[in-house]
Amino acid sequence: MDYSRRKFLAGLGATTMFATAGVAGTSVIQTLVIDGKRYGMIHDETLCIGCEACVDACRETNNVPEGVSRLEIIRSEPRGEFPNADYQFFRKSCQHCEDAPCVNVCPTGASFIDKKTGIVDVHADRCVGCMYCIAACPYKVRYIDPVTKSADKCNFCRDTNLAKGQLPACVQSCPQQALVFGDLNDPNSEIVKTLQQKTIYRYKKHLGTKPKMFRVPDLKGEIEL
Amino acid sequence: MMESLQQALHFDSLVWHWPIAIYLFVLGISSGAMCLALFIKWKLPSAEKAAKNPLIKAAAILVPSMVIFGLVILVFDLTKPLHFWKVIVYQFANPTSVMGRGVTLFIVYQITTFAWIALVFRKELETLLARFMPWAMKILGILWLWDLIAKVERQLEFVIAILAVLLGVYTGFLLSALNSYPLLNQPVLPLLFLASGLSSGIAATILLATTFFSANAKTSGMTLSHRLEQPIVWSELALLIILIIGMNFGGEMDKVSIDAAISGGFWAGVFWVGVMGIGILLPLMMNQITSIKVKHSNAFILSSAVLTLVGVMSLRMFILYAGQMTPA
Repeated sequence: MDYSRRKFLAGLGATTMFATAGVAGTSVIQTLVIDGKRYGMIHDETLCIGCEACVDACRETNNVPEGVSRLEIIRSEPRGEFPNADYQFFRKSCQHCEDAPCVNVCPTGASFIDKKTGIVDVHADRCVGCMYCIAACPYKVRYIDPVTKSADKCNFCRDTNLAKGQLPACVQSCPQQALVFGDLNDPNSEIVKTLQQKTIYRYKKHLGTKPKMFRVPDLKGEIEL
Repeated sequence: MMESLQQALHFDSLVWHWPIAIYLFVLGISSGAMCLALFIKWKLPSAEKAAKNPLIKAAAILVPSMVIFGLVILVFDLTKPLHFWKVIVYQFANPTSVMGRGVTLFIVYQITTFAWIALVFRKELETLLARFMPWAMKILGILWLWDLIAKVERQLEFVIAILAVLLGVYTGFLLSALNSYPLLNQPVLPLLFLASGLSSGIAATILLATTFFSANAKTSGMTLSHRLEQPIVWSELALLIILIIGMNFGGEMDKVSIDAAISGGFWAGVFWVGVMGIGILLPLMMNQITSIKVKHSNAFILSSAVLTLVGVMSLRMFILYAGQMTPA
């Protein structure tokens, strides 16, 4: 671990200064940061080929039971005429919202945002299965785990790969490098650099959820005339 | 037909099923019955005893039993019913959760309404205790507690009135907190559910009082109940119209959502026939065209109560299902 009490306090001080001054920093989103990390992800739809290696890797790494999935790749209708037809691919998974509806509605605090990483996660023990979070999620990425009977979803491999210091399983397994994972608070991270270089969009951003899943669109603006 | 019913009751974006609609329905009845009972008690001539009034008797049964019934439904609808106690233990873990605050409200509401019922029916309860559990009268400082409640009767009733209204709006806030569904995420929903809850509470109280406690048109409080019903039904109608027009003034998904809900398909049928027809227009019309004599018959009183209950249950089902049809 490369953090210390001293760094932690310094970070806290800096955060407080930002908060009191009401100044938005250089990063994309501002939140209360305790440990300096705020993980986000980019899905580059221009690079994705829809092979679903990420889906399988996720299931294996996180022991996701059959019948449910933390991650889906949704394939669009074919675009264009054969032989020039292609598809658009959309990653359906937790957006790790900064203002997460699932966390806001949870009656027991089972659904929470990890302050050290900004990851939205679920305390399976605390969850009673009222399904309020599943209804509240505008991205419809939550499900009831058929084994634990608790609400579950992607947690960026927080308790599996990330805990071992590795990248999330989906990122590791992608043959196209279509997924970029990293700390949005680190200006030198690959994710921040990619965000500065590419045009990105966030799904249902107008709902005010501040999703930390960024997407590089495989489209050129408004195309329906 | 069967296929379209299948589609109406099972679709991908549906998370909460009919048990939640029943839960919202019975909580509304409890809230409405409590408001009515307080109204009647406040209006009764002081010589008349509230404990002898059939409507207050019926309300005293409905108020706690409907909340308990609703909570039992809710607990069995959890994926982990045996873990329900965590909702009570951890209810303050998330201070802004509507459901968490609902749990707090249920606890306070149940305690205060039980205290109120114990006060109103003190004589009757004392007789029962003296006969079946004479030892209970001597221990626990039970008489002292009763005297204490009697001292704060006014204040208690004031608090209960507020709690009953909160329970009514809670059923709406539970759904309007979901900005994932445009039709549910409407500020008017808590008011609509409060109004329809009052309607159903009054109807259920009248129904129970007439069938079990031999109430009739001459029972004191009955005229008051009917006088309350009219403006409440009119305001329900107004709130529904405001909801429809307001959503048509809204963003793209607001328009798509309200259009999908009321302009075709199974749930549009439930809305126009059940909510509007049976629940609102028919009772209003019956009230306009019938004579006083007919209105005072038990058959009329019972049938309009049943129509109102069917209408309010239809509204709960319609909002819950049609609301979840269109995600934001």
